[in-house]
Amino acid sequence: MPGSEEKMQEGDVLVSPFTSPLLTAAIMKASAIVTDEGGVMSHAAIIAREMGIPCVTGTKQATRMLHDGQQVTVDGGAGIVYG
Amino acid sequence: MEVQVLSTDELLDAFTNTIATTLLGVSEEPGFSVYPMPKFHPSEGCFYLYIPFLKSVHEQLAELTRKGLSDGEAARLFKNPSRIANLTYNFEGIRLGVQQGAYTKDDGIGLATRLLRYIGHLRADIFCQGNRNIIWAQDKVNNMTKGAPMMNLASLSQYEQARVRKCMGRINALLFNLCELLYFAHHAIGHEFHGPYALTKRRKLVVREYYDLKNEFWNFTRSLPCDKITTMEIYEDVDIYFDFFNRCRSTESLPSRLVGLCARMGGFDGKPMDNIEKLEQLYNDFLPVVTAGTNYVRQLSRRDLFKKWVEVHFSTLEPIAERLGTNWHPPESVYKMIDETDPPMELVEAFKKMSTIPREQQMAILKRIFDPRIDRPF
Repeated sequence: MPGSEEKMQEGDVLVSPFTSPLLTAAIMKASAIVTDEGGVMSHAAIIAREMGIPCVTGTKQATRMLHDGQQVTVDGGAGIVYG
Repeated sequence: MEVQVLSTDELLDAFTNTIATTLLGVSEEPGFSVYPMPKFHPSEGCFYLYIPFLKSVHEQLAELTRKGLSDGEAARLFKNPSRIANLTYNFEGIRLGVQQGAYTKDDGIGLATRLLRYIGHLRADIFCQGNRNIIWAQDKVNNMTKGAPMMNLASLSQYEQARVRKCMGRINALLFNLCELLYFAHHAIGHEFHGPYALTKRRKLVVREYYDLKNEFWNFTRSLPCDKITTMEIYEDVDIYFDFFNRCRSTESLPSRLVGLCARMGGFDGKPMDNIEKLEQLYNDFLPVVTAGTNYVRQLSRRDLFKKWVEVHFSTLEPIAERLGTNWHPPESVYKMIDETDPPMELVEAFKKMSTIPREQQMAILKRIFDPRIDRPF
């Protein structure tokens, strides 16, 4: 979302309702991506596969349950985010 | 390349099955409300695009035939098959052109089958039913890999390998995002990923061509360091799939399986980015331009974005119009329509309702929507 790029630091986990090219600057700093929406062919999943970073999509509630600065572990293989 | 010979009905049956399956596959995506950009749904953009664009495609391709160009020659003007495949999303609008008298129903069906036949001249499997996008014959694969200045990751230290993998992954992600920024949902207008070509039992080659990155309709692209990036990437122990619309899937993250690489600024004869510093420089040169592009796109209004949507589709006709000596730009009437008319919300609502009905019914409806042989899909 607008402003995310400024907040994101290199190595942060990007948590967003969905991703799009408009989040490029934030995505490029991300060590993992978690989204509320989307599946295996979503923008987030495609980009994460290309970058080689873990990604969990379609959580429905990540943006509500996780908050800025929280330590999380993202297991892209299992599709689990440990908060 | 051996060209597949299919009847009109066989071609259109295979196409409608492919596009319905593909669209159903993405039906769980957030697209119906927010894709490709947060400001409009593709079906709203198509409201302005379909009739003038398809009329122009029909007239220009017919003119190419009148001038004696073969299907193969005409197909090559589109550069690569996935660009044509992405234009087939517009088949939904063919019947509108018939209803408005832009061309006849036979012309509409002819236009659809002509574009599908063109794809058959450029890739071995028109619909990528085998999950591969094979453009090069095996001889060419062998020659291209033997003659290329490939970076062998095994010859690098662990630290350097990690840097190359991270950087190449970021370059591909960044260029994919750039293509989506320029061409919206139809990102493969700006790229062709092909392969995987088997090199050994464990290794396969994927070729990526990104082109027309400097688009006259997007001013920010003038600052890009080049118009094309071409890579040949060798992966080990991973399955990689491509679909009809050139979307890529893999069983593992790609950078972790990268073992060889040749990246060039330009086409296959372009300047090689043959060390980590050059690759990182390429990424560092592109990132601020793409970031500036995202900031620019964010402040555009819906109407501005509708105009870009129309313009980038028309830009695919540039090589054809140049060949014919005609104008490929959108007609002024399209801009007027965008300024004066809002797209009907029924289109978006119809797509939203689709997700509430059983999958088999969705499949049947989608097949009918994209089938130019059918007058009334509902």
